[in-house]
Amino acid sequence: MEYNELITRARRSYVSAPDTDVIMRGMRHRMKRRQQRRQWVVSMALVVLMGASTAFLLQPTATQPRLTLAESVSGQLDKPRNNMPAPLVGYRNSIRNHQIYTLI
Amino acid sequence: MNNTTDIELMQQVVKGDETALCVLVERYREQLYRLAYGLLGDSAADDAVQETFIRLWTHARRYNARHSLVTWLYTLCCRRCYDELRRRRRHREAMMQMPDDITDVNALEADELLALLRQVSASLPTKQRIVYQLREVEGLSAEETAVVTRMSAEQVKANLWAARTTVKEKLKQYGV
Repeated sequence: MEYNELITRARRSYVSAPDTDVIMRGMRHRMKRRQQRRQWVVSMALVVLMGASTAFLLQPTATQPRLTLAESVSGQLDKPRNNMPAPLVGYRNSIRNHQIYTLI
Repeated sequence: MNNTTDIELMQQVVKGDETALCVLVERYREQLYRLAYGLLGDSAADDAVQETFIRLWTHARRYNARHSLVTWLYTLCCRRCYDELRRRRRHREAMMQMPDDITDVNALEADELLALLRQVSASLPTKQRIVYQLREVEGLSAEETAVVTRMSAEQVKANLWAARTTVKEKLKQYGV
């Protein structure tokens, strides 16, 4: 058989497609599934958003302003000697002796 | 409804008329199924045809009457088939084996010849395969094929020439 003859005969082939009803039913089923999937994704996104918002709103707020490291240590340094943690005693003395106030 | 033109039916589809969609499905299901069957085989062809008509329904406003509706449908179907063929190659599905039980090509029926062509062209690169199916088997013109595949006319010719050469080589073993 020649190639062109093979092509001509193949073009005449009849491939039975599904009925229109079957195709339409399949289409409706797919579109319904897609819509359900979209709704599920939107619902999950809303749940996550609400959870994050709630967690943010319920977090404890600071009652005192936060001190910098320098402020907290200098606060310690100004304490009477018997209240100061031991490692800081010598440190306080060296700072006062060398007038170094920058701790960062 | 059956005598209504494609453009009139598409205008109804844009308005959400399902009856007009049914008419279009009835009109073009054979052609699209044949194209998808030639590229993908039986079960995947069902999916491709349904997805094509779903796309027609959801994106009816995008239809440009500059080209015929069948060309647009072929474009949608080809894109779907192209994605599926690329997905199959990515997952390294086994290439179809060449049928070795065929002794006389002349004795084959037309649909068996179509199946043989599909198996022979399965080893072609995706673009060549689609161009081959559209030009050679479906009988689209070079211009229509260029519109459907979004290639230039020269690219279509080059892909067709390469595909024909490969297919003819493979068909030599069957005496073609």
